Amino acid sequence: MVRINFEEELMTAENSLIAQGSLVHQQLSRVLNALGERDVPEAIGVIAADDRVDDIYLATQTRILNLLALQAPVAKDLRLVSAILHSNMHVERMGDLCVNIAKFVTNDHPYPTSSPMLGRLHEMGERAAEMLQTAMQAFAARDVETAEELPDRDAVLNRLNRGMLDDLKGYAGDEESFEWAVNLILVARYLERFGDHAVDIGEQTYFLVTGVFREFTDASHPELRLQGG
Amino acid sequence: MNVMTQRPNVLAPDLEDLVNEHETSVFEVRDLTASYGATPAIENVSLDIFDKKITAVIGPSGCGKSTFIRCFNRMNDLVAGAHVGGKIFYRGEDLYAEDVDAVEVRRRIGMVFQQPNPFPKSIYDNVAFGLRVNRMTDHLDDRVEKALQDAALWDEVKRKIKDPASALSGGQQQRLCIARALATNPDVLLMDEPCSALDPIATTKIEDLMHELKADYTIVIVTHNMQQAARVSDLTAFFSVEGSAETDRSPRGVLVEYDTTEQIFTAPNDRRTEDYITGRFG
Repeated sequence: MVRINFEEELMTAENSLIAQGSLVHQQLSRVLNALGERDVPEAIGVIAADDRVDDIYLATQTRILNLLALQAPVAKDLRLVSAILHSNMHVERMGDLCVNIAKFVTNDHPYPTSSPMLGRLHEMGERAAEMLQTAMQAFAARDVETAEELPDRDAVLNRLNRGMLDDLKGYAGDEESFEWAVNLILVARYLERFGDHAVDIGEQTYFLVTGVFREFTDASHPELRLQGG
Repeated sequence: MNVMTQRPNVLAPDLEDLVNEHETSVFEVRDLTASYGATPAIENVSLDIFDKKITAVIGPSGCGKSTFIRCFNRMNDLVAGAHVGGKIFYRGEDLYAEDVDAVEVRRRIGMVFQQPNPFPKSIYDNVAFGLRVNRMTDHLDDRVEKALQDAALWDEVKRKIKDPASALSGGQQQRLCIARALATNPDVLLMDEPCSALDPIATTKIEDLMHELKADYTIVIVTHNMQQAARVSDLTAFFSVEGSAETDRSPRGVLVEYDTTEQIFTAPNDRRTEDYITGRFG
């Protein structure tokens, strides 16, 4: 006895999540290019493409609700359904963060395309993209070890983000530059949040595999790395 | 009788944790084996049934679920050729000791079956039956009313208490059987697929009733309906079948996993449990 239809529905829901992850990865890549080149049309394209991310989010949400209502999943199936539901939301939020960055680009601030801040943002963006890829690969492979790498990667992203403040100080006396420089701080913040969502997806992978939910890092006590399950 | 000194230490470590978490064991089952003639039904089952908890017993057909709970009130004594080995301690007493009165056991450990089986008598006489057998006839009317109230049936039958029980609906008949079991003031209620012949509304009524009865009784329920086990029980025991005609061992029921119902239905520890409850069995 194998629940063929149920298995197919579960697999479709997970595939949608993975596809959504790939799409958001592309969105991040596009918006980083737009940011680096001050390419307003490309940024507008990123905003438009977010509708597709939202469509996948809603379709996955509906599929999961139907699975819960019609199939009453339990045990590892229930954990998968729950992990997809949570991760779906995280990936959708990551898409929204790309839109936030794109909106900054469309405001056409006169920031120089080569500056220490832009260099740092570019590195943050690359690391955020790697984190999303790692999170989705770990989820698909049920690979707890890889998922547990995410907090370390996130720590690097957080350090880069904190460095942005030092960069900002260089523009403190320059009123014209200060406005876009402060906005670039916000962009860094969006990328830093992007990384947090990747860590959250890693936690969902841990739950999916082990049945135990634990936070990899405690937001209230970031100095502590939580151990054990 | 000091239970702790009598109890052989045969529990798996995770079951030891369960015992520690739930202080009072009503039954302590140790190495229980049951067979019908040369045919084994269950083998080496060890677990504790905890006070004022609902314990669900689930598993595929032929895994010995019903045989298992029938051991608790010595119903298997009534089956020719049935043999029970190992130990069951009921509140510290060896249930199968020679001096134990099986009728008294069945008064304290009541049972409700799959098919509602009221006697061909009035509603009143059905509930009063066990009271009369056990000579508990003082305040008979009060006892009958109390049992029907406890079974959430009183309001529906109080104006037709002398009508034949057969006039009741299936769900009402099952609650009448529960009232009949409750009348003799038992300690434990065994329920063998009590809702399998009932519609969803009658099933909900029985499940709600079980929730209320838990305050006063320890309940063990056998069910094929895993969602029912998940809904009503605090603890779940999963039995499976080991051995087959192809092997040199004939099939017999074994306890695979016993844990809190939340644990069993969210993250069971045994692959066989996982496969069964997720519908990937066999």
